[in-house]
Amino acid sequence: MNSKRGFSSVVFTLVVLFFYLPLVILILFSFNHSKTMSWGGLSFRWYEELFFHSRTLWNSVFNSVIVALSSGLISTIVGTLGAVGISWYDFRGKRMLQVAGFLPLILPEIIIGVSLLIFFAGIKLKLSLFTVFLAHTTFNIPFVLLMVTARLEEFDFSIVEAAYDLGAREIDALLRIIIPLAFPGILSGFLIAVTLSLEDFVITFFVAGPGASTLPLHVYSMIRFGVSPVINALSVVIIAATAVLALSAGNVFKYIVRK
Amino acid sequence: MRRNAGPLYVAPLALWLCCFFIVPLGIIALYSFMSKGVYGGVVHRFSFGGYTALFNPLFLTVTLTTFLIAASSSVITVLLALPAAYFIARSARKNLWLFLVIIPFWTNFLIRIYAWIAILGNNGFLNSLLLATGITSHHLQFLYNKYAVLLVTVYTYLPFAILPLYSTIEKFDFSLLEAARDLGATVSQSIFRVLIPSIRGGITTAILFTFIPAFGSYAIPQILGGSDSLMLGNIIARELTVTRNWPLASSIAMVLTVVTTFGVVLFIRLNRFQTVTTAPEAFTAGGVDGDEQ
Amino acid sequence: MKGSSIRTEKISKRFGSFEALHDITISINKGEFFSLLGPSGCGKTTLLRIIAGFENPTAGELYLDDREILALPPNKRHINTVFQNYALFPHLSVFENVAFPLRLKKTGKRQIQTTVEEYLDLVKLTAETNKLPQQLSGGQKQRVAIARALINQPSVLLLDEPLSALDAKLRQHMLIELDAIHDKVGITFIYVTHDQQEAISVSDRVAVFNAGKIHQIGTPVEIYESPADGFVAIFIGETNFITGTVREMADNGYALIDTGPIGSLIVNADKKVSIGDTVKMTVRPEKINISAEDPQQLAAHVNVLRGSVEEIIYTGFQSKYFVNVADTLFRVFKQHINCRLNEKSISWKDRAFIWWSADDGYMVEVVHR
Repeated sequence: MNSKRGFSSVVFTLVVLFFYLPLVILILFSFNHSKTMSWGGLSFRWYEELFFHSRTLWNSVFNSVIVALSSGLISTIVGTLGAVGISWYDFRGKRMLQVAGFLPLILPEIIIGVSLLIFFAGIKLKLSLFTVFLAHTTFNIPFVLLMVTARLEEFDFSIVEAAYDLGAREIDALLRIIIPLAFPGILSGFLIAVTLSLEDFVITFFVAGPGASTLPLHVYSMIRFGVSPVINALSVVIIAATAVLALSAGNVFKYIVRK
Repeated sequence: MRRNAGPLYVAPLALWLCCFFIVPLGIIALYSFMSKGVYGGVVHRFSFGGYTALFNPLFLTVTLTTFLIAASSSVITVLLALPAAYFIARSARKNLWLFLVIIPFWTNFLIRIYAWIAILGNNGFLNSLLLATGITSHHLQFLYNKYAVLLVTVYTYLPFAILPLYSTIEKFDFSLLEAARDLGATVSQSIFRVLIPSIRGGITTAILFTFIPAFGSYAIPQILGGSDSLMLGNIIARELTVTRNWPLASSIAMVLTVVTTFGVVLFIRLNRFQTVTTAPEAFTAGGVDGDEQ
Repeated sequence: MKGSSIRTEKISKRFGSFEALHDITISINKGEFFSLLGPSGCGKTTLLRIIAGFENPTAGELYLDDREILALPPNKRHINTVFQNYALFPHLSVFENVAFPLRLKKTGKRQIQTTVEEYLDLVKLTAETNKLPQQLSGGQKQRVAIARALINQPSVLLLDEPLSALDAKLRQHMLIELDAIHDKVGITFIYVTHDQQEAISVSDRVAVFNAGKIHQIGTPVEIYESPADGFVAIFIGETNFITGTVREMADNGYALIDTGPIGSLIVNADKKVSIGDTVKMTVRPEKINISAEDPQQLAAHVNVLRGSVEEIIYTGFQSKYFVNVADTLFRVFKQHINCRLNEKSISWKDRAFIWWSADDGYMVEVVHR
């Protein structure tokens, strides 16, 4: 191996350490008896606190899941149909729609949060979990659009023409050909949408109403009071949950790719 | 002849984007040209007030800080990402390494920020360690300054730089490096004259993917920053919720929007130029009559 | 069988300012194997897509079995297509690809089973029933596409450059099989290709296209032996062109043309000409004889020229000679019917005699005086 390879492996190792060290420390100190970040003996008290004495936290988890699933579903439907239309049809204003569907991906989150806040105030829609759902669906749609469009681009339109040629109506082509073909794209679009929704802090911060706290909002309010070992315990639970989900999603993905 | 079902498919998309993206953005654009109300909000009277206020030294400083933090974090990120991506692309176990890079970022964004608070905070891991080992005798302030913001920004956006760099380096034909060496280039010459120019597209993508979100950053400076690291995002939020100067909040938002859009358009132009010079057939294929075999 | 299957009436198609098709009028007979032949971008695929229903013509009419069908969407036309890239559904097995049209019609399970098997048998693909398209070779994909397009028992089968993605050997083989399938099912085949060999080897009739216009419609023999114009002559095989002015007309259907330095040539007056007209005539290279010695005892109406051999390309079954006659290069193809070693050979730079019968020369362009 040449020297460049040696240099790059050193940098890569450092990068991986940089990525994982904070998480490892978090995990370690979730089992710490002391309330501070100095070691005070092994203990599960923060897990007990997390699971049995953190009702508002679990309430925010519930809110997050509701918003993630509903906005994931709606954005997947709207985004998938839009991707089919944009990929395989010509219509007036297509170019503009493509730009409008791409712009939310690149604009800073705060712009979307602020503009929606002002918009909701303008139409006198009270901030609630529903406005969070509307906002999350809005920033999720472009991701679904992107994923499904990328998948559809792998196929030639002649496949759809073949379906019509063989007697398919519009709806037959959609249900029997287009959706099954686009399915890996649709699924990954949905997964990304759910992940982004669970993850979002900035936009939610602006559009969430009182009592509509999501998990990131709740964590934010806890962070403002400094180090809390309950968050350490929560982090471990989240890391474990994402690892399990990631592995199973990885398997699902492998299955789809093989297909 | 088949009826065109295109509009039917895109109708929900167009409607949703119109209602919840274009109209709200339009409202901000409109508000940025209006006057501030006495008790906050806006008065429907035309004014450049929102924009003239931007030339206040405070906002100029904030804009400069925002630009410097975004630019330096994207430079550091790309400098780290380049060798890391190169290593992954040349490794036999690409998928494992990629997985390793992505996994930490499936944990919650705020948890990742919290991890740094737990390490760098006044009662954090590092301070405890320093005190326990007797290196220092009092708590050190690591957080609430621009270096903390820079560190966590790099931490957050590093994977977004590694992935596009990886995918371009992976496509690079490494026999070209051998050809360069064969023609008399040194290792570093072959890298700087052959590899780097060939993966220019990936580098610009990586810079874009880190600079743009960092420029519009809100949460990281809000949580980890101090008075030396106020960014435009924080000012928008403050003007919107605390000062309630909506025209000013809107005009800053417009500045962010315009800068971001300009950056992306520039990027697309650069990249399109590249695709035209490398793959002209992409523009001639799919012509009127598909007779070509 | 009688009557027309597909008939187009003055079909034109414009894409913006580009005229892809201009006044196309064709009548294709029932059960005919009809080819649309032309170079890339000549409009043949556009015509096929109009017949299938994927494009609307700018003007004109389209009849299937004497019924105007332009208003019908592709799924309502009794016409099916074999696509250039096969367009197999990648998520469906071979069986399900072929069964697709029947499933749409809600055909019974048992009926589907037997019909699909019958058609897979027709294209000799019974062994690959459960494979997915990406597990098939190019030729096998081709067969699936054909079976799938035939299972609805269409009145017309459209084939869009179906062999272009196959290698040369497989192409020959599939062509023969396609012909056999055509004989078996007996429906009209409309075959689009840019390959003149394919077109003339299997078609009943061929329409030669260029730049959106039809240059000639005829049997393969007609378009080869009696091309309507210079484009057809050069597009269907190699040829020689000679231009001259008509000097004399004979009563028996021959004309004598003056070609300047080459001399006077006798040519079949298959077009109306009169003395003084300028004509471009063509003679196929294989119709020309070549020898080192002067061919003395010849029948009447034979043109004999003398030149020097500029180039010889030996290809095994034949040799191609390029003979310079007064600065005009003639291509002459000589079949090696007898063993070449025994012949008195002609070599590079030799003087040689070439000659052909007046009946083998045709006029392709006439400029009347």
